[in-house]
Order: sequence, then structure tokens, then C-alpha cells
Amino acid sequence: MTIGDWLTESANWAFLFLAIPTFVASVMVVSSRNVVRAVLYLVIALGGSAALFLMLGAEFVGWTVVLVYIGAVIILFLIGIMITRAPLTKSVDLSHPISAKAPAALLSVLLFGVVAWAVVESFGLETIPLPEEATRTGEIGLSIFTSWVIPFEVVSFVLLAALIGGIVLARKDEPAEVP
Amino acid sequence: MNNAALLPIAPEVILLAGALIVILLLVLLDRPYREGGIVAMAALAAAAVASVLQWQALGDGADNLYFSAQGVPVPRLPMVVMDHYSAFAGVVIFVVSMLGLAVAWRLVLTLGARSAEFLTLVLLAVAGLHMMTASANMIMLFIGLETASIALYVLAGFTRERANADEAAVKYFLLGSLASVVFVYGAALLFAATGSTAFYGAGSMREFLAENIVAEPAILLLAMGLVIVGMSFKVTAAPFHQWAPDVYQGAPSGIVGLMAAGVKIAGFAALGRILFSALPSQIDDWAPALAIIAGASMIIGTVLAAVQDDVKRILAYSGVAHAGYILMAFVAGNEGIGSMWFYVTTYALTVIGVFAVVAVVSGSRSGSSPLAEWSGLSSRAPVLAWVMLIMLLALAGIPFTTGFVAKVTVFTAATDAGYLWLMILALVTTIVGLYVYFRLAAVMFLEGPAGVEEVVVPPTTALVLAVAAVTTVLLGLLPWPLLDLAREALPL
Repeated sequence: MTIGDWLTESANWAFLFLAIPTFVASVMVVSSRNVVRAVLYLVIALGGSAALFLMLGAEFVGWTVVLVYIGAVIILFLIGIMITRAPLTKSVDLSHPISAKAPAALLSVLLFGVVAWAVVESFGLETIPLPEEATRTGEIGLSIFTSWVIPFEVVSFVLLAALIGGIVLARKDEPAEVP
Repeated sequence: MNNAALLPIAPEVILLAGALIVILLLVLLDRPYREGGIVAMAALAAAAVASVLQWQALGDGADNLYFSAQGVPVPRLPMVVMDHYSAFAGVVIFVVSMLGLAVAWRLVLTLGARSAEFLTLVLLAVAGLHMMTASANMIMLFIGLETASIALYVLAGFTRERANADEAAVKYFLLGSLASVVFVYGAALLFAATGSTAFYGAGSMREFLAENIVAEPAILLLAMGLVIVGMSFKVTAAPFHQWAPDVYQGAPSGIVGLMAAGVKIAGFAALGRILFSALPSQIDDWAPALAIIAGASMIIGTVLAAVQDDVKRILAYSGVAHAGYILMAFVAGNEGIGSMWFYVTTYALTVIGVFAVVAVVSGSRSGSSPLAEWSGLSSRAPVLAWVMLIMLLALAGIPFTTGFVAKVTVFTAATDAGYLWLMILALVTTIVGLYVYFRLAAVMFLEGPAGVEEVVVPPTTALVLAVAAVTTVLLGLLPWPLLDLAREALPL
């Protein structure tokens, strides 16, 4: 398949339309010197990846990214920035020297290269058909509460540990005597 | 559903119930610090008994049991597996945790109203650690890992009045989360490569790899690499060990023993579960990688332990070196499981003892434990110094201690598997390692006393020290009962 063939496919244009802004926004998240701007770029990056999931037919994952990440996590970030009174202007703390940036960038590119190479090497142009029920949110809900109910229940204890941990670390001083 | 069907998850159920009871006691009783501790201890003891019952049920010819959701055909998608491997891991983890909690008892009493949260987090962490070893599915294993990790991040920063406790917790959290991400990415790619997250049953990873020859193994190799890297972080194998010294140094001394020993047992057991049960056909791919990590850990751990000036940092780097020795057992595949169990068990008991001494010498809430505090310990507290010496001899691998037997078994396993170079390297680092442990012993026995204040050993800690010292010597002289049990503790 040549690039010309690739470009005649309309889905590939939609992919480029989504992927390029996502990529640019992701780079801006880590390179922006202003925390609030970085968070707003993260919204674009997450929105783009949610759209890519929808394109792949992963309806449930796509909307989860929108609801949980864009809806909840970003708000948490912004509230966190607000209550910690982080500077809203350019921050010196966020500007690392090039000696710190270069290895990080190199490692990211290297990791991307290895993963991309492995995927292409293993699957190449092979088309893997998606079973019809895999894309339906209802089916996913059913399987969470049948086949996967045990991990689902155990996750509640992860949340319990996180909740107790959060209370312990955030409570301000040695609490008064328990009644 | 009969009682036997619930036996595979009995230890976890007991521990989680115990965690909830400890929290509820806080509501019902006035200052239930002591009661909470008793409940936590009882829960750990009951879980250990449940694991023994599991072992016996298996010995009586009961089939290896799977546990899965009701209505789901169990052999198709098992979630929890009960075999000799998980039962052995259960006994070791719960007994070591009881000892660890006994060492932390002093710390618990000083925490006041926060002691209930502390005990709950310990129980949740231990439940997560055992879940890692009893999982029949990658998803379960990851959830167990996260339960344990999140609880331990908080325990590391529990005495947050000290700045370096905060540093320890944040560093542990950031690097631990990174390790979890790497691990889960590997798990996802394993799913991409094999089409399953299950270790056992129809269509599992093992069956897929046994029935199919992977023509383009790039994804599979990358997936295994990421899983191994993620787990290496948790068991502090080099070069993924950077967090360990800072975290051990910053975390309250009373709990470091439990953190260090518990995570090592569960981390190695979980890595073994993945490699021996799910990917046994790929041993020619993962064994060389583990051999390199093992070699790097032994060299880096030994060399860096020799230049530290803080006992907790010395022990952290010594832990890196020991992670390397334990990984030597892995390269032998199924033949090495017995050696791995013997090493992990005896090392965990020794480490609990060593950190109990640290908690006595430097205080259970303290972070750092500079060498200066240890000088002349033999004249201030002779018994304590001699107990510490026994532990150090075991860590160094001197004959008549468990450390020697453990080293011999893993060296044999690696040599039999054809990794002679690894054995020779391990021999060299063991000899260099003698310097590390004798340096500390020399500070304790040959230098003048650091102060005149009396060293007080709390009764619970004294009990732990007695258990650790006796097992270290006794199992060093008569290792066969434990070796026989360890050789039986095979995964399905």
C-alpha cells in the first residue's frame, strides 16, 4: 500500500484530523510553562484520544474517557491548582534545563518507536475483525457483572485503601480524642 | 455452593473482614488502640490457619480449586486459584506480617487515634499481597498489586511530621505508580499477543502459547519485558531499585520490615506465577533477561551497600543484591521454584528481624538510622548486638545460617540451568558482600559506645527477635523440612 492509496481512504483523513491535534496538544501539555494552560491542553489531548477510541468502535472506553478524565479529573486538577494557589502565570519551577529535557524526550521517542515497531512487526496490515458484541456498552456491563464480578468487587477495597490513605495524609493535625 | 468452594478466597475474606472490624471498633469503643491491634493479629493468624487448611485440603487429594463468579463455567475464566503455590505463599506472607506487625506495635501505640487507620491499611496491604500470589488472571493480579501498593504508599508516609517521611511517601507513590503503569501496559500487550488475560483454563495464555507458534513475537517479547520491568520495580531489582533506599530511610522504622519483606515475597511469587504458569513455553526468551537483571542487581546492590553511612540504606541496597540472588532461581524455570521459596522465606524472616533491631536502636518512628547510632552497641545491649550479628551472618551467607543454605540452593539451580557465569558472578558479589556486613558488625562490636542511654527492647519486639534468630540458626542447621515443603509448593 502506498501513501497515495492510504490517503484515498476517507477514514484515514478522519484519523489524521484527530491524531495531529492530539499529538500537538500532548507535546504542549509537557512543554507548557503555565500549569493552567497545560491542563487545558490536556483536555484537547484527552478529547482526541476519546474520539480515536470511538473511531475504533470502543464506545464504552471512549465515553469513559470523556466522563471520567475530561469531566472529573480535569476539574480536580483545576480545583487543586486553585486551592494550592499555584501561580497562574509562567512558572520558573516548570522550566527544566535542557540536560533534563533531552534524556526524557529521547526516552519517550525511543519507547514510542519500540512499541510502534512491535505492533507493526506483529500485526502489520492484518485486519482483526471486531466481534459485534464487543462494541456494545450493554454487553460490557453484563460481562462486568457476570464473568468479571470478582475483580469488580475487589476494586472496592482498592478504593477503601485509597480513601483511608487520603484521610490519613490530609487530616491536618493529631485529631482530638475519639468520643 | 459448599464450604470447600469458598476455601480459595478464605484468607482474603478473613483479612478484609478484619480490616472492616478494626475501623468499626473506632466507632464503637473509646480509644480502641489495643483492641484494634488484637483484632488485626487475630485476622492475620486466622488467615495463616486458612492457608494451612488449603494446603491440607490439597494434600488430601482435593483437586486444585478455582474460584470464579457463580454461574460462570469456572474452568473457562478462573479468577482465584488454590494450589500448593498460593497456600505456601499464604502461610509465609501471613506469618511474616504477624511478626512485622508485632515489631510495629510500639509505633501503633504512639499513633493514638490514627492507629485504627494504620492497622486497616496493614490488613488491606497484606490481603493485596496474598491476592497477587493466588490470582489466576492478570486483572486480579494487578488489582491485588494496586491494593497492596496504595496501602503501602500511605504507610511509608504515616509519620508525616517528619519531612523525609513525606518525601518517602511521595517518591514511593510516583515511582510505584510508574511501575504499575509499565506493568499494566505489559499486561495489555500480553492480551494483544495471546488474546487472553487468564493464566489457566480454556483459551488462556498458557494454552494459546502451547498450541500456537508465534511467528512474529515482537509484541509478546515487548509485553514480557514490560511485565518483568514492572515487577522488578516492586522487588527492587536493579536497575529499577532507585526508590528503595530513600523510601526505607524515610518510612517509620517500625513498619519498614513488613514493607520490605512482604513486597519481596509477594512480588517474586507473582512474577513466578506469571512466568511459570502463564509463559512456561517462552522460558528461552525471559530467562536470559532475568539473568541479566539478576547480575546487575547483585553488582549494583553489593557495591552501593558498601559505601552507605546509614543502616537503613545499607539494608536497602543489600535487599537489591538479594533480589538478584532470588532471581537466579528463576532462570532454572520450574526446577528453581523450590530454591526461590526457600530463599524468599528465610530472607523475609531475617529481614523482619534486622529491621526490628533497627526499630529498637533508632526508635520505631524515626526515619534515618546513621551508623554512628550503632557504634558500641555490644556494650550497651549485648544480646541485641549478638542477635543482629546472627542476622548479618545470615544475610552474608555464612555456613550454619539459613543464608548459606539459601545461597547454595539458588547457586545450584542456576548452575544446573546452564548459567555458570551467573553463579560465578554471584560467588564474587557474595565475597564482596562480606565486607558490607562485617563493616556493620565491626561498628557494633569494636567501636566505643555512642551514648549512655539504655536500649529498651519492647516485649513484642523481643519475641520477634527470638523467633527470627532461632529460625535463622535452626533452619540453617536443619533446612530439610522447609526445603521439602518448598519443593512441593509448585504452581499449577
